[in-house]
Amino acid sequence: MESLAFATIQQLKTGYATGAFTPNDVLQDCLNRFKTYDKKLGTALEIFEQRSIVECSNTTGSLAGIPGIIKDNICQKERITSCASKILANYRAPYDATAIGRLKKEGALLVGRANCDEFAMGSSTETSAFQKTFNPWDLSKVPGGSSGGSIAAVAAGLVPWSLGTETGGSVRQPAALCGIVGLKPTYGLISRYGVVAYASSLDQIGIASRTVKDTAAVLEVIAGHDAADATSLGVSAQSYTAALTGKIPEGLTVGIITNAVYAPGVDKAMISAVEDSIKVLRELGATIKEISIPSMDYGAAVYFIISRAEAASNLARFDGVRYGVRADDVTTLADLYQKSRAEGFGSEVKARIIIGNYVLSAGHSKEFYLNALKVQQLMRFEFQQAFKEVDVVLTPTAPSTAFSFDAFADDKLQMDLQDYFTCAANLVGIPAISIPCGFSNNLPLGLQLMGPHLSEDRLLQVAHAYEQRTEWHKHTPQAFL
Amino acid sequence: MEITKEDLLKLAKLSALTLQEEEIPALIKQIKSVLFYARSVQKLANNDLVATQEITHPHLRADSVRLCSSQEIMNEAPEHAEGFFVVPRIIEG
Repeated sequence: MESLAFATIQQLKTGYATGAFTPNDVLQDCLNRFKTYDKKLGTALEIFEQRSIVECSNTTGSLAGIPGIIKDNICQKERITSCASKILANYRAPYDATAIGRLKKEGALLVGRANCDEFAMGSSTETSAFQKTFNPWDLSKVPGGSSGGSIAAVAAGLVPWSLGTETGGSVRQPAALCGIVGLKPTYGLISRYGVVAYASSLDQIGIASRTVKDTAAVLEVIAGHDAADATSLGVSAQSYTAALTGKIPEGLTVGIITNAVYAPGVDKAMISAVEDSIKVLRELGATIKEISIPSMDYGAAVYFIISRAEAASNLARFDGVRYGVRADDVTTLADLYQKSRAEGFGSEVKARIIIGNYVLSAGHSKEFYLNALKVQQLMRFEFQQAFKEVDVVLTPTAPSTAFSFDAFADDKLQMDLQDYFTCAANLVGIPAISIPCGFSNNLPLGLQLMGPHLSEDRLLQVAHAYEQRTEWHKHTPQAFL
Repeated sequence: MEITKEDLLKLAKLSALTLQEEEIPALIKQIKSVLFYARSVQKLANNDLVATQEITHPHLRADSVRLCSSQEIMNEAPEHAEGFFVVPRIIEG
């Protein structure tokens, strides 16, 4: 059997159909690759024992025998779900998240738990309480975050797909930094049931893979209404792969958000890759229109406030009483709460909870929280207006290529500003995808496309046509071949 | 934007967190810089378009009761007995 490293879902399915190899061969190969390479990469917090992986899932279905890895804030029944936090280090999920249940039903093989920033709070996976994850293109660089483990595992060809979660860009930004495809669907398209909440009004499961078609194939399985999630939309999954013709939709207009593309601090190589992408889209037949969405420049500020406010509420449930880790030597109930949380949470999580309580507190909620909600509403309005003129909008996914470890240790705000391009889609609730669009100094660059609510089919179609016209997705990090 | 050590400790208490002395300077620095940046939302807040924006909330399903096994829930607790969570004594007597 040839090496199956970097095989796509579609290639694996063809191999199964022709009898070239079996799901067992593929799973064995996948587990071997984790054994060989993950000491260097640190993508997985745990790889499960082979038999238990197989036993969890059906043997038939649209993803039968296709291995993938799951971010460690999505519940997999009877597995630990730690959110890369000490406070949940021993927590075993009593049930499957809805998305996990659907994947198992369709035969996907869930091989392990992927490392991430603690409670998905970060842009580099450095806040994980357990380990660092390294960028497969250059081990001195971060993979991005917060879903860094999920994304680096796919980028290094250890698995063909993975799930991450998104609150402000946590799938798209690492996908860009690691040179793969990352999708954040419309808010409410994928059930959040079984996803440990960070900021509930923004959180959404995201999908990573090395091709647009593979991302569409996973989306088909996990999208659609779920009564267990209060904010789930009343829509069914579609056949998202069917729309992938290699052509863009007739009469497509792409809006270039000029205030974002040419925002201060965007790397020159990034801008030039975006400009090249625009040429490709034009060759594919798209009409290009320059637009401006001025409120986007305030998106990161709005995101900081709303996400921290919701985090402060959501993380109040970790109290050392009902689940997770409890501090020893406590004499009063207040002690129990405070010490369990102080010992269990890392510094980034503590900072976000404290900021959240500040912006919600009596003296400051109007200045911060209520104003942020208003500006969020303005962003929604401006995007709606834009989508009257154009079908999809385009920006870079991140300001530059992957950065070094500790690059922002002295100025964490600069790390947070990594979210500038991506958090708008979370705040507005629209779908967005990052696709590889070039390299600078041998590190990948990502292009972001966003569309109106529930336009995943069109977004994937455009991304796929772009991908088929370019070669960027065919590059793989040589050290992991 | 000033955040003093006293402010931070008060917020930490509200957040049910104790802080180590050595954590405090870095936290103050980080919180100040985020809040200073986040404050920029005010610049837009007086814009006419913003003033007319109504805040919408997502459509939610009915909040109906669903039963689940209390044993499964209890099994996650660090300490439990006879179907109850065990915590330090709350009422003296």
